[in-house]
Amino acid sequence: MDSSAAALSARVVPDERRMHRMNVFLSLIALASWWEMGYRQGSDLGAGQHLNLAVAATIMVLARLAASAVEALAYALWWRTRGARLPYARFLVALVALSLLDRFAQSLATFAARVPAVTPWLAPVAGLQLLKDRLPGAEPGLWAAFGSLGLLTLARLAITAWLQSAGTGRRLRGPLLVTTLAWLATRVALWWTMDLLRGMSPLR
Amino acid sequence: MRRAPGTSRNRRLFGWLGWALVATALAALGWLWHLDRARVWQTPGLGAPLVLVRAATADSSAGTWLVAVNPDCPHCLQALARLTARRRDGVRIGALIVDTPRPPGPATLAALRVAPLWWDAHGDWRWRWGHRVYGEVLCFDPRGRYLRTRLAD
Repeated sequence: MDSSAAALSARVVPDERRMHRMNVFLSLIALASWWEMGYRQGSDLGAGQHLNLAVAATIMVLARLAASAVEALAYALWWRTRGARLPYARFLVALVALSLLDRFAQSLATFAARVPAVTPWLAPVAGLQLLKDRLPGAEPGLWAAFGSLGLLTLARLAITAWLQSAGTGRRLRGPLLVTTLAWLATRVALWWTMDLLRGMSPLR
Repeated sequence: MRRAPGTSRNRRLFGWLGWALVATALAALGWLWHLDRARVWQTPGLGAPLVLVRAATADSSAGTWLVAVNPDCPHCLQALARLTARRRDGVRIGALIVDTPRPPGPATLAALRVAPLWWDAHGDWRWRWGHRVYGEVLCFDPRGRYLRTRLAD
């Protein structure tokens, strides 16, 4: 091994560690942010006691954490099936950090609700659901499933794929295909489930 | 420690089996969805087989709005209370008791002080009309013909 290659390999590990530390930090911010949102939404729904609102917000954060854990596990198992190892804990932390993008989309949606004039501009970024009131003909199940589609969702998918590519050492194309198919499958499952739950009843 | 040669292959096999199960579950969900959507549901209507528990006094109402209520569901009762509080001119606000196999008792009748009050004794709302969300509002014209279903708020 020549000296430049040795220096490069010595730098790779600290870079990975640095990135992991940053992801841990961002994931803590994400969890705090989701907790705050849960608490605020609970307050908006009705004046509850502080303790009850805090417990509800904590349950919401735990549910989100569980969803990320299942998502990370699904990808890790998939790559195990394909003969590659994806470090589960690191990937999970990165996914939780990545949920800040979803949180940002939520904030943009809240802003659009307050300032309707900006809705057409924000919808391509935060999700098509912002245009729901302007397109009343579409099926409510479809809105529930695909309403979040926007640039932020696409960015989340791309980064999720990149994390898998970096974790497994595979080329980006495979992880991108797997992530897109997984997203589509879960969205379609959500669409069908919502339709089955509502039957002929209308949905918000 | 060195793994047995077949272990890794077995793990992969079980992995693929797991993913095949997930795909089968998704296909089953799609099949259920298709059956549900392809089914021809009956149009809601006032009168038999619904049972009229409390009749409204004859008036010149422009129509009747019935809130689908399960007496055990506090959200339904709140939806009915909100709609009654925001009384709309010319529309009679009533309730349709759903998913309740036994005739409504005195406590239920006391909690639902609206008229007309109908009881879906045979589960038509769910099994023949295909409706499933409590608190929705079924709108009928003055002759009792179904117009549409809308959200409570």
